[in-house]
Amino acid sequence: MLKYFIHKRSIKEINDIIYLLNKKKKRLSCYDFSNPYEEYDKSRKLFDTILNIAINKSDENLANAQYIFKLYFYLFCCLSEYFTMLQCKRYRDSWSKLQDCFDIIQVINNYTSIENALEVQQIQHMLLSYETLYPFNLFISAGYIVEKSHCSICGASMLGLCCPHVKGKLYWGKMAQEVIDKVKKIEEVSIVENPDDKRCVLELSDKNGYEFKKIEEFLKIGHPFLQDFSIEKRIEYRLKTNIKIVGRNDLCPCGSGLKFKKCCGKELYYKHEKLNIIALKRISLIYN
Amino acid sequence: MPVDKKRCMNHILIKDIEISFDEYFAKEKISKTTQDKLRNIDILAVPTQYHDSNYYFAKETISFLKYCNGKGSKYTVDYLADGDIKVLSLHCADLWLPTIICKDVLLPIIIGLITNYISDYIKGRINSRNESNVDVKIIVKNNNKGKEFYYNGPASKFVETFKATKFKKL
Repeated sequence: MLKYFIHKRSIKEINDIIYLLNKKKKRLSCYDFSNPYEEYDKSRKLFDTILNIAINKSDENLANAQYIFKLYFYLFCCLSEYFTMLQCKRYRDSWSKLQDCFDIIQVINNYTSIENALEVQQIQHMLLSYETLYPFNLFISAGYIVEKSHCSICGASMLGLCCPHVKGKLYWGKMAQEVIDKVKKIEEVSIVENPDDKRCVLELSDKNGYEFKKIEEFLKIGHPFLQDFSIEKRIEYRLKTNIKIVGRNDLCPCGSGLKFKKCCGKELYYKHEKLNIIALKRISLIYN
Repeated sequence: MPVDKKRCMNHILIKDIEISFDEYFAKEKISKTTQDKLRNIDILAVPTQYHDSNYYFAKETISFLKYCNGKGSKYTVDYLADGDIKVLSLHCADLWLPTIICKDVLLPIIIGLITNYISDYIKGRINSRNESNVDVKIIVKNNNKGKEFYYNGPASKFVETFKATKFKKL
């Protein structure tokens, strides 16, 4: 779909969109994350025009390709905003933005083969590494009974077979979505590892910033934003600094009356998880 | 690649069952026309009774049935309910497919359709950190009796699990 859209650049509006996207990518590669949606906002009318052209030409492929390319364009804006959030230490917000990026990538992957996905696979790989820096491993997931819903395209019920549209599929540049009108009841709320939506997280009650220690440490290293990486965890045992060390058979300085080796001397070391960041390939943004 | 039967069989449960929807028909006051679907429809999605004793359909029921229809199948496809269905939507990345009733000759076709549906579903989720699980029940009917194949396991293991299942010997 992405390449199909680019191949149609003889259409003036598509050419203009590609120019704006190249400009956006250039800013991104220079770490200029300001006004993340500037180019995208300028391109919106152009995308609408292309959709009209596609409809007039009865070209459903072009209509759908403009939807996917629009998402592709939006991905770079979300990336800029994500990096801005990291720079501003808005870690909680950055998690949601990261999930926005994954949602976009999921739709692009659905409609594009790996070899035609331009740099999307590289970006996904890099973002998956970023995801491991967050403390969120468990999520809240609700199970509910849907009694009434309708199709975002034709308005017919999506709980029957009358509506011809399949949820998540593209039709003339629009995605068929199920709009839920009535939930009978929330059946359950579960804690799961693999939810559909990772935005509803279980957070630690310790709000002293400790929860984002890993990502803070990572940012302190100054790893370039658009460079892929992998993380190697190493467990180190470090000497506790609050224990006064005496001879093994001496009385323990803590006053327990026990020998040092049978008291504080038993636990002289603590476990420390050290992150080794291994820099991988820099994301090579593709200019069309 | 050789199929590790023992590992695969951990995800599938096979048992003989009596097919009876009398309680469901009475509770939901299901019409005679709909009841007849049990005999007339080739690929039929049926509801499952949950712990609140009500009957609901799985989250992917409608999408899956539309998918079967869209594949230009010559077989009839429907669900066992009057009007719209009630769906239990579990907000989880797992794929909750419906319970399907079919004749024994259609089992390979159903497995093929499910396999393709799973492939389409996980295409967008490629490279994601957690693999999606699939939950699906296929009931092969023979009059009022049936054999139930319940699969609950990783999406990627669905095909090899069914390859490892020797249907004739069951």
